[in-house]
Amino acid sequence: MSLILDHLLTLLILLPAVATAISFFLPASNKSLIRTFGCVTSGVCLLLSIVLFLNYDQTLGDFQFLKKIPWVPDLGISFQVGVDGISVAMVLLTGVVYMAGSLASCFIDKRVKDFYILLHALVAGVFGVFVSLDLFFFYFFFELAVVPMYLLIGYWGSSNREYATMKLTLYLTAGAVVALIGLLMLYFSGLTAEPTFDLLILREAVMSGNGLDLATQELLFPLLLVGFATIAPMWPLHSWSPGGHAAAPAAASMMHAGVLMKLGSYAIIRIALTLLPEGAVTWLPWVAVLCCFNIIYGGYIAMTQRDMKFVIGYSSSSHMGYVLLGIASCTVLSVNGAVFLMFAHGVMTALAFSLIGFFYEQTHTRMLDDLGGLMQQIPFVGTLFLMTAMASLGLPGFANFASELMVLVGSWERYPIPTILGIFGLVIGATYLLRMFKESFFGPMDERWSELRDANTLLERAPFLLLLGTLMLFGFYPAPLTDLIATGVAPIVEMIQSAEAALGV
Amino acid sequence: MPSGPWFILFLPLVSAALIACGLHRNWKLSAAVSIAAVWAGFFITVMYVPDALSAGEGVLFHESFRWAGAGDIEFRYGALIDGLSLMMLLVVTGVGGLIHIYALGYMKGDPGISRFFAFLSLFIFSMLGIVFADNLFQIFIHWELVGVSSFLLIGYYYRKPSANDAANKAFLTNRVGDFGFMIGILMAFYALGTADFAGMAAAMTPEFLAQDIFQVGGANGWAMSGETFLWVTGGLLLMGVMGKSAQFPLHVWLPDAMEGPTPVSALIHAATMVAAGVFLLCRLFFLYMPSETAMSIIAHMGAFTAFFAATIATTQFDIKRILAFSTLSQLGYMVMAVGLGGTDAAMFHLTTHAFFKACLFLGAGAVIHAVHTNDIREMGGLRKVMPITFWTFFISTLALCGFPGLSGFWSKDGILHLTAHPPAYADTFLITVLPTVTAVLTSYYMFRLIFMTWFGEARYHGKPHEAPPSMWSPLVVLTGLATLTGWSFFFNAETMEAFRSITRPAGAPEPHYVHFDMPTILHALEIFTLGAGAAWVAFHKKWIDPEKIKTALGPIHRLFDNRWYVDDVYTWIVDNIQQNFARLCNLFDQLVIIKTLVNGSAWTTRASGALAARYQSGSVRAYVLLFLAGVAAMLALNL
Repeated sequence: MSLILDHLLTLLILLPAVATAISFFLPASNKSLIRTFGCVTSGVCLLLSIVLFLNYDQTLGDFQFLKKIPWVPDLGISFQVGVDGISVAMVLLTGVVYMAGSLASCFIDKRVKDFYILLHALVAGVFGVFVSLDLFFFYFFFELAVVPMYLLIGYWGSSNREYATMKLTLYLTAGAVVALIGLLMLYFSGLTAEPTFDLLILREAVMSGNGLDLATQELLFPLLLVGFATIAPMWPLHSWSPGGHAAAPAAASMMHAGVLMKLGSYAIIRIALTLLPEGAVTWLPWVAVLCCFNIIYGGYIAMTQRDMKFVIGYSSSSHMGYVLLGIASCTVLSVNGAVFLMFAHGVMTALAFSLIGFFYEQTHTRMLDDLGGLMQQIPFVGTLFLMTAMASLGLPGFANFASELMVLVGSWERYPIPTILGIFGLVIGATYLLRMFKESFFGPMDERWSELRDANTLLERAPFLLLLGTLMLFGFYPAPLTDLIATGVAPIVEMIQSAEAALGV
Repeated sequence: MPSGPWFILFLPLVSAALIACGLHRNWKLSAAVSIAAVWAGFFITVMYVPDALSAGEGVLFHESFRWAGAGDIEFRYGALIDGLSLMMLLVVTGVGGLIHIYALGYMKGDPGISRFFAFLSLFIFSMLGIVFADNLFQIFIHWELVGVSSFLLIGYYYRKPSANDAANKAFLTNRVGDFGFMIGILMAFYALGTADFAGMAAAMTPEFLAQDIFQVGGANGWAMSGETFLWVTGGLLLMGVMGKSAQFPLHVWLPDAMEGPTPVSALIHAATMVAAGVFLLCRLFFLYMPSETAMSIIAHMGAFTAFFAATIATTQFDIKRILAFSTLSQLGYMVMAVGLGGTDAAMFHLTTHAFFKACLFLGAGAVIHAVHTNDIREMGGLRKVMPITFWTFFISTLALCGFPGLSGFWSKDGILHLTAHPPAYADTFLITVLPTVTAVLTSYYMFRLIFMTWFGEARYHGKPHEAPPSMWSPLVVLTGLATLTGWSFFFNAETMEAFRSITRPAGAPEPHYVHFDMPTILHALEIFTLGAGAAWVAFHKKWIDPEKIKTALGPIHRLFDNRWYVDDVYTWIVDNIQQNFARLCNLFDQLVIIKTLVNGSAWTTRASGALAARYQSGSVRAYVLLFLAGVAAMLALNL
């Protein structure tokens, strides 16, 4: 056990990575073997992330489970992992969505082997991003996570997939390149005497008061912000996201909206806020403005959509507005809420996409005009979908409410107008979600759907119940998770606030 | 080991969870668990009554735990029992318990009956959370949960599009109210430094109130004077009340909510949930009291809602809708009473109203069950067929109309008494005249309903029969309560004193006591006879043709019949403004962001690629030429 604890983070990256390699050698014809192998791997990863969650010592805080293996010492590159409260929450999210995604992928029948290979590779990248404390590896894992998505949508996708997958990849690559420029400039900026990618050393330099001068910070911050916010996605860089969701197969959408989008906001907190606190003070007010567009504009567009996945897609960009608002406000409560919302939204949206995927397999349409009255035929899926919609519109009892409440309360004293718009966003959210639900599940049923099959087996229900259970667990009692996140958030916010004091803002 | 009150709160939640997780296959077991949960709550509550009567205003029970938080802000979840919440607990679990039993008879044979009981339990949990709450955030949490329970129960018959529309309308209207409510909570929380009721009240010191300049929303916010701050905060919090207690202009959802099964209308949309707003006003009375502007807004809004809804009730033909508009009207009375400083009068009317209005709704449910229609034009003469239901309905109507001796007399006259001695900020017409006119209208529309439903020739179809015992026994109990509450006060002055003191927040003005003297009785009789007499003339004796009155009133009747066109205005706003704004955003996204920026940059890339490709001709001569041109250019630049 202590051996596992010692190498927990390395294991979390290695397991899906090795699973990718092993899957190459599994016979493509033996689909059930590949599926079982995938589910077992993800199950072990989920267990490990729960172990991490339980073993992280909140009283100590800061980075724990540190491991450092020098790689290219001359360039200051080393394989370094470690987690704080923020990363633990994200690792737990990834574990839950990975498990649910693997289970839901059991119903894919086309090129099963390739699908799982890509899924494992993607998750290895995501785990890598969340635990890396070396900018070089951070970026490497970031790219590793993004590339499989191109193939997942390209092969297994549906409506307008060529356009969607091209757009998604180009956007994310462009964003990543901008971020890379920022990272390289940071590397060469002379923050430390010897250039290094080691996040801990860089952070140490900033914290000891030897940070970069204001002009450099103000130049670098927007590069990192725009680069990473593309995947977040921040308005007006959101355009890849709804179409990408709509075209992606269910399991890919789950990973994509569930964890991949969170890489962006995670990177902003982990790198941009931590290393460029004074740059943040200059630029965060702009984020506070742009996030209003996410919330209001995204919400109103969701209102006009007829394809359910587009509704959820635009609602995701609306919800990410709250994450950005929480980050922009930069109080302990609001950033904590933002990280918690990343977690909650990841689980919620994975649940939404898996449920839509479940009946789309049978109906082959997601257009609201074609659907209606499905509740009569598939009450289990319908009930869960209603609960998902309720979670999404911020109903207490689900983690989304608690996190949005924290964002709003935390932001009020900093940006009251965006906060008011954020509260209004809750009205908009309720409008489109209830309308979508009414038109798809309530009312009289079309004859066409009288053959629909509900989720009856345990295997079919398991991913849904896992995700819903997570949402409700932390919805009913958020303190364990919020206290954990707070240990990671507090030092970062403290740095920003002292930077503010120094700048006299 | 958690103590008693936590069981009151969580047993219904456990019941809902159990039903959802498998018990629903056996509907009898589901109903039993749900009914047991609410009654267990009632009996635990009753154990606190003796303490409350002896302790007066004191807190009887208070525990709380940390729910979430970060930094120096934390959200707590508590259970607080004092006189005010005890009163409300008794109403919610007592009336709720009776309605659970009634629902057993009413919903029998419905395929979704287990689901129905799960929703009822969820509602009871949500409602009790409001009652128990010791801070604003907890109230907000349960405010939302009550909203969703109401949504689920209104939309219970989910195959009916009209039920879905009504459910959505209820939820969204409440969300609009909660928009203001949340902002109000944020303002109060940051200004007073806590969301805890006791802490907030303690922070409202004279020095605090005397502050000239008040910074709201931090450095990027607004500066306002202490007085402005109080009424703005109060007004925003009041939006939450408008939503839940269906006050004008957010009242539109309640009449439509009658799409839900009748027990729901009785429990949620008459007795308990809609009273939550009044309860909240009493809880936050310390916040409103120092501001005359805030009190005046509340009083006038309540008075107008009472009158407004009563006028609409006179024109309706759907039995449940008449009762719904009557509920709106009575809630208006309660809200007005709070605005006039009479929280005890408001809470008392809330309690008696819960009894007689629940009874009226359940009676209406029994009628609908029997004749399979809601339209009072297709009823008539039912008195002989359903005697028990008739008598309970009739007595409850008398109570609602404030007939001397019945509970409504005591409670409504408590409120009318307040209007007869109005504070300086009250408008004479709105506060002193309108409530009396409303009382006359109340007797009129209720007796119009009585005569058309129970008297005259039979216009119904089929063979209606009396309701089963599980349905009529709650009616009898509620009628008993509607009759007797109040008399106990008459005979026992101590009870009355105790009641008034426990539901009156500390520092509220001394209430005017209602004396059971001749002028009061005569005045009440006057009002009653005027309204009921008019209904008798028009709908029983038919000396005047109602159609002729309609024609004579012309536009006024059309105004009432169309609910003052408020719904039409909202529909217009949603269809034209909101929908078009959404389309505009979408158009912008399609044209500007996707077509121009995204595809434009893709096109630029492609085009520049094509341009560059033209020079990658593969011809060595061209390359050499270009190379030379480049060298020439560089030389030219350097020289």
